[in-house]
Amino acid sequence: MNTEESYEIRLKVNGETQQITAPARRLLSDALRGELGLTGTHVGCEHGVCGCCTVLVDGAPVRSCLTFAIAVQDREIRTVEGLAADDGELHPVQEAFKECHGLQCGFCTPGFLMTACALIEQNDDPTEEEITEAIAGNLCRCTGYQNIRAAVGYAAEIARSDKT
Amino acid sequence: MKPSPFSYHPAASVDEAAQFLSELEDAKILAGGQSLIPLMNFRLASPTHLIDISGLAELSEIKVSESEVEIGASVTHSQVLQSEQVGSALPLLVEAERLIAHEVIRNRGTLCGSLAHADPAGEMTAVITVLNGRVNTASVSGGRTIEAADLFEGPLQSSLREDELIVSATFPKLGPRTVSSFREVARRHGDYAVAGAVSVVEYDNDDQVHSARAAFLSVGPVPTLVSFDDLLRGNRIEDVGHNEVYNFLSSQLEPHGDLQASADYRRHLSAEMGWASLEACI
Ligand SMILES: Cc1cc2nc3c(=O)[nH]c(=O)nc-3n(C[C@H](O)[C@H](O)[C@H](O)COP(=O)(O)OP(=O)(O)OC[C@H]3O[C@@H](n4cnc5c(N)ncnc54)[C@H](O)[C@@H]3O)c2cc1C
Ligand code: FES
Ligand code: FES
Repeated sequence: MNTEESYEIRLKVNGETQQITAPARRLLSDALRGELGLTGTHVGCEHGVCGCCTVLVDGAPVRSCLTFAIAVQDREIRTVEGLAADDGELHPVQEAFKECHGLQCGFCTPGFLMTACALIEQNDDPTEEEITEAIAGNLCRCTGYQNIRAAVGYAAEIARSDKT
Repeated sequence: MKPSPFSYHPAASVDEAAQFLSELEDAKILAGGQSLIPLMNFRLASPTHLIDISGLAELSEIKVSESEVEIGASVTHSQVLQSEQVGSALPLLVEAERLIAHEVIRNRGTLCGSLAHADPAGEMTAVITVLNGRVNTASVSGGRTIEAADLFEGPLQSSLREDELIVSATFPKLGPRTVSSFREVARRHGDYAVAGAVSVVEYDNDDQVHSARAAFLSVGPVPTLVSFDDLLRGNRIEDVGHNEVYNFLSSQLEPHGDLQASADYRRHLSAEMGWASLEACI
């Protein structure tokens, strides 16, 4: 077989632009974890169902396992590593998941955090229903979801009080 | 698993995309990738070339005219859902979009990609069928229009030629005295529906049914269109009632069984959804 064609791909992740060399078939999830060493983004099913690979592209949640890295060059990509402040202060969603026991094994957590982050950035006073709908695309095999829903609500509360 | 190797061609224009399609062997269009990439990850698809149209400004328009709504091929499900213009011109499109997957999938997946993908479980295949919409295509030998009735040939099989791409989909607005509604059952919100129906009912001046039809999801290789004209014309839906509609639909629909539902259960659910969507048009 011919050697595979490589591409120079510019990825802007958590505010920093980096260049990687990879084939076109490199999934964004694998580029983040492999080429960039950002292993906070998890990979479960690779067909869009579990949600643990969810990252933000230009502020909107997308499945990094269903996105080719080369197709999102120069877009603003945000991963779980980009949530906490530089001084280590937790983002409201992280704080809330910690406070409300919104995680057990933690495998699903990065996806839930990014989904919740996008939700409260769009709407920092979501109803119970809006919270349930927002996280409906993410699977968790441990918690039973109740603490996750509570955590998202609490995250919104923290975000509101941070503003005032 | 991971996709097999391919060459990546971001198209700078529709003409260039058509050129690529005609020149490259075994090439496929990449729109949002939300159906294609899962297939590639499982190596159920392994195209040699991908032509990315997701960035094409030319295809990013939503146009609303007197009589129609036209959605460009790079418009995402989320953009349709959020469009106030579409919401007031053809609320059925927004109602259907809400049933498609989750926000995170809708943020990248496109409406036209759903049509090209030709999944009989896809909500948009049923919507374009019940509305008698059409898609508009481009290719190096020129564009054409494909009516919804001629668009779907089998599961995941459209009548698009290999050298042809969809540039937009056109949905006629509903006429006066015409109502529509979509009802479906899914295991969880955002999953593909086990059964579903979208109805369009036109009333005459005496508020009786003039014509009524419904398209059904997942009951055959292509979206299934059923006319209620013989049953309902000149009557009121509520006077004909649940039982007659249910029995009529049970005799019309020939669904298959799968892991989610046996054939009989799916026939039952489809007939109930058919009734529910009609009832919502009262
Ligand atoms: C977890 C999950 C749940 C989902 N649930 C639902 C659901 O409930 N209902 C539903 O309807 N869909 C569902 N989908 C599919 C989703 O709607 C896809 O977005 C859509 O089917 C395809 O659009 P796309 O832009 O992603 O197309 P792509 O994946 O890029 O392409 C799909 C196919 O269409 C072809 N294609 C795309 N655009 C064009 C074009 N303009 N011209 C010619 N060919 C083209 C491609 O070559 C490919 O063969 C789900 C997907 C996932 C991952
Ligand atoms: S790994 Fe992407 S959704 Fe499961
Ligand atoms: S905490 Fe274990 S899967 Fe969610």
